[in-house]
Amino acid sequence: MDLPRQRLPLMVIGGYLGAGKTTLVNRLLADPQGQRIAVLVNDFGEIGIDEGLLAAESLAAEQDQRSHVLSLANGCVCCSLADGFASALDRVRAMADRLDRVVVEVSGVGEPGKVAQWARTPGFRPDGVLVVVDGSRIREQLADPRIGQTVAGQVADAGLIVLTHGDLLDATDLTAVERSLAQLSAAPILRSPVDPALLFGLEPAPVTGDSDAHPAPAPAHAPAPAHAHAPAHAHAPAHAHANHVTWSLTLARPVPRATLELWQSVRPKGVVRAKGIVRLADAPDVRTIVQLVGDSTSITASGPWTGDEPGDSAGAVVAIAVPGTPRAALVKWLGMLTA
Amino acid sequence: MPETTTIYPAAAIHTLDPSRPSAEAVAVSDGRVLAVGTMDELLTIDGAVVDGSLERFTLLPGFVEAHCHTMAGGMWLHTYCGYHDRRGPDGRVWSGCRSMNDVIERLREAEARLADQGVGPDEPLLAWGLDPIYFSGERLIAKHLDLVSTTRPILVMHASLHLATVNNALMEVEGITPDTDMDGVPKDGSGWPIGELQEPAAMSLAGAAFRKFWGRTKSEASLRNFGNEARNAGITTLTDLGNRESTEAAEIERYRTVVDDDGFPARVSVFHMPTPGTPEALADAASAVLASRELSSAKLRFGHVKLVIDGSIQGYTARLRWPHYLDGGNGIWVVPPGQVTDILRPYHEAGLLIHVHCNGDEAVDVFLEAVEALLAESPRVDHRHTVQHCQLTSPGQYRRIAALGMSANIFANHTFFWGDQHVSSTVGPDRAARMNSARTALDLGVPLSMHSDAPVTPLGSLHVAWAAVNRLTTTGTVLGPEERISVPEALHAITMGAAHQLKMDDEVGSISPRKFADLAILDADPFAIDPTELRDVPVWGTMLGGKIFAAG
Repeated sequence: MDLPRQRLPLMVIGGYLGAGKTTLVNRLLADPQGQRIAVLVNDFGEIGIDEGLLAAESLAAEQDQRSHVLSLANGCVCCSLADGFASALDRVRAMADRLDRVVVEVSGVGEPGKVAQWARTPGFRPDGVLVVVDGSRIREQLADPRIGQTVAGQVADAGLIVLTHGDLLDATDLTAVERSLAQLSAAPILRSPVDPALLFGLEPAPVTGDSDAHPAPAPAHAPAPAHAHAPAHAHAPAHAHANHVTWSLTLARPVPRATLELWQSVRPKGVVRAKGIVRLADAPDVRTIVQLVGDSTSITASGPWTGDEPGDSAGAVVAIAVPGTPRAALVKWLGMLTA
Repeated sequence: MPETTTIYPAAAIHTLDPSRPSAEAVAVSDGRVLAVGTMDELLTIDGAVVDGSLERFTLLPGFVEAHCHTMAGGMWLHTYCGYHDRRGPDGRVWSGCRSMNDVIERLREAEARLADQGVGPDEPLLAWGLDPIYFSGERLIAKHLDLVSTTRPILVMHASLHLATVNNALMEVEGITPDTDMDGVPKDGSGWPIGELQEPAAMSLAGAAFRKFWGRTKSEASLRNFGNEARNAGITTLTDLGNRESTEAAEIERYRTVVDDDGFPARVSVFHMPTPGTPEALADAASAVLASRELSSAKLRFGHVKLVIDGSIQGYTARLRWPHYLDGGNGIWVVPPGQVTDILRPYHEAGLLIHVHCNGDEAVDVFLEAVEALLAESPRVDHRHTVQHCQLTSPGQYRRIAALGMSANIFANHTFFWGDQHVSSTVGPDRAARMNSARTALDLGVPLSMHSDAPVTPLGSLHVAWAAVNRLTTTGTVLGPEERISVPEALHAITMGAAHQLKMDDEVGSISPRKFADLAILDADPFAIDPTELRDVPVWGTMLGGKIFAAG
């Protein structure tokens, strides 16, 4: 059985040529939140992955704490029928014990939703589809007869949208852009630059002991049913530079499964990620891990309930949302789990 | 002074060289054509010896296949399950599997062979070429393959290579269960996976069997098989059109080991496929490709480039101009259209020959715009950049191709293999009749070749020529009769036309003095038969560099 802690989260980053995918990947590599990342690149682009941030393949050793990059052939991710991408993922699997997560940068015309299917192959678990959109060019791109359909398909695949070059637009145009994106996708829209903590901040949580290796910003033991809370890496919600908001909730009573399932299906707009270690009413002896990334959810069992879990006697959940997400909506949503 | 000269008289010799189009005999010296002519002329050569072994055959220049993939030879390391009869590299003709029962029977024979050879029960049984669209009734799923074995994992790859069917033993070993949660793993009413795996991500769940299936295609045995298939088809020059590892030492060594061996019956031109990267990385790659030319030999060539920019028409993934597909959709780009010029620039500036896969006419526009831009920046003479597949190219586009000094390599086999589907489903009767318009290309002065794209269709230049001459579909309809070309034109396209696109036209492609003595040795004269029988002309074998290879 493939336990969740053994499966590497695989995030797909898509978006049309020039949108800023590689810039985002470089930002993640520069501030990886203490995590070791394998980046798979399938793009012809003006800028490359910053090699200074990476471990050389030949130096990849057990103690290597850095990240790695693997490049893929022309057409290999979306189109090649041979085993090009499978081979690349085999290389990642072979070094899985030296990694915490995988990021796939899809080609500028790639279909991120299709590539995300690979996150469901052995050794990995889906960690979201992030689509980067150039706010200053998106309307022109969507109207372009050659690429409009491609770009619209990418946006429709998104679980999270990162809007770049928004600074080149005035407020009216920005609203118009966000409105046209909303017609294609229900995904939350983050404005660049994106804080890596927003994308990686809840990962990895110690699911079965071993918490020294990767200390997680675990949900705080807090008395209130739901409250704003400054996470360990200290981006207080009220701070002027804050670009995300973290909320958590501890659980005193086991949660009915139906409640959890309903809860995950009605997440408020703006929630980017959420994670919980939860004791379910119908399975009180096991840890149930719930992970929400963008618009996807996974609920998995992972080992026995030990009583050492973070939070109260039935665990805890923590959520990250984009700035400006109404507090009341989050409080109400998290509160569903205690109702 | 040549050491020995051998004179081969033949029943007929068509040189494809307009200066002396036919001859009674060909004189070969040191692996090259010394002369063609009458016996009287050739017997004046000092010390020449007459070899009568080819005197009952018709000789043509060895065929040149300018768009195929050498991995196709690896398919024969698996069990053939296709619908059409097909001749393997060893010459064995595998009858087509016309029903699900035929498939199961074929697999049972393969299973028995594995058991006889003492192959362990964990070793998967791998098969290829399944074409269930021709079968009526139930689709082939795991429970049918379980009739072959309930213990040995079985993987049957479909002809499209987009799907695989596996048995329950394989699903058990690889952990494909009701809990498997991804697209492309259909399940039955009870939630159990039916054994069909659709598209590469799902296909990769077949684990060891999937990796072995593709792994074998990259072996030396695969390459040897492909050479033997070429010999059986009268082909003496092959291509590997798109190999991302073509500048890597291990891959170069694999090619040298196999192709430079005297027993390998073909020349191979290996095209480099760019790996995505920054402009600096592409410039480095272009230098590496240029440098790899130095590693070429008489039989093995490196140093050209292949890029793919769209998908396939039968897969609805080629990029089409208005009115797109009949269903209103359009295909996919493999690289951003606005970036093609930038990707090709380092290769063009390095002086390399560039072939680009463009099935749809919108992709052709993008490639032509890129070549126009690059030629304005960095003028080159005689670049021979080539549009590959070129299936829906319009007359206007062909005029641009000609004006730009480019060539077209047309996927003529499509008319036969998918013509009926193009009429009914992809683009409709009007555009289907204009597809692969070799007549238009020739009339507009475009240097023309035609290809099989093996393994997409079977390797076989005479079949390709037959398809362009007759334009018959699988159901026997003549599709677009105005676009038919003559037998001489078609034979030119699969010899000189292809050699031109590989920049080998001064070395191969015709039976002319100084060129390599590469011949197709045929049991009938393609110029003398009914054109509808062109694909049935028996190939006795080939001559490569003066050495005779009998077909298997």
